[in-house]
Amino acid sequence: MKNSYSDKELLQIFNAGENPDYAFGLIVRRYQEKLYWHIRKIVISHEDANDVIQETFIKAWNNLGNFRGDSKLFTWLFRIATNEALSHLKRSRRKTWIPFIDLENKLENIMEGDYYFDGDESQLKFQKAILKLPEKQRLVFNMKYFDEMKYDEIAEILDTSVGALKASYHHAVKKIKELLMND
Amino acid sequence: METQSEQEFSGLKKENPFKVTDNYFDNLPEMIQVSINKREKAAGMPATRIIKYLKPHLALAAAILGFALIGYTGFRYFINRNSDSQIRNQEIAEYMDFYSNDVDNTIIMELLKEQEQQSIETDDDLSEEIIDYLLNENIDIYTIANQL
Repeated sequence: MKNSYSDKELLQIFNAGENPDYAFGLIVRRYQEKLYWHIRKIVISHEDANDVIQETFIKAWNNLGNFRGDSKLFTWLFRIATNEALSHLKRSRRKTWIPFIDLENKLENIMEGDYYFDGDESQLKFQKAILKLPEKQRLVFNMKYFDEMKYDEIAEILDTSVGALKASYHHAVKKIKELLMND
Repeated sequence: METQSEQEFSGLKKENPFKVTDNYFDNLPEMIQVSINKREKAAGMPATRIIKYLKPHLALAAAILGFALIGYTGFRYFINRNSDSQIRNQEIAEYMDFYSNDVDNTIIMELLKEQEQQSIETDDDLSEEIIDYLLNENIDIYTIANQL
């Protein structure tokens, strides 16, 4: 499978309708890993991340024909993935009637017992501290610190101003530092 | 700010601590394709299409039916309550008519007289007892009057 096409070319192949499966397959291969890790950091469990990423690409498949190209394909996919992951958390909270604080504990427990968590003790502490952040701060911190995304890109995905993001990141860093020191 | 924050976490590895099964990303595109095909097949099935088409109409019909049922139940309750109270009033009137015919006014009057007589007799007995007591004790009635 040749994957040297640009996003624009892949979209053209997809929209031409001759071989949409092929073009879409290449898009999936190009972005699956980045999207998966982004989702995984939000929902924590591998099983949930697996469900969410599939749902993300199904949504993308259904709506790619309407994608106008106003934003980058990468940004558009990230936005879908973020919304799907947050909706997944909301659904699981509603399903089990658990408030925010308990969801955070639940995610911590999942991480502690997760076979697919490969970090050492200090990384576990670090991840636990990140889990204690409010949802939006957690998102911003992960995208900036781990995914090393630019503020402009994050702003487009989360539909927020760069200023607000900088403040969120600053608060997140401060809180994590405090939590790690008090631990 | 970023450099500073990264320095603050310098003791910690920036690596991703999560992992996945081997070949997960090799198989993921196929899994996604299978999911898409399944979803499209399900959406393309006549029954699903009919349900999808009818869903909003069915929801509307169910809502109307629900409102009608609630309205009807309320109406029935209201009617039943009114007819109940009518029956109760009627029953009371009939009961009063029936028993008022049975009871004679003269009997009531005699009973009342008898009761009055009894109370007078009791009063007389009590007065006699008091007089006897005063005489036995040799108490002058004027002394009592003066003390009061």
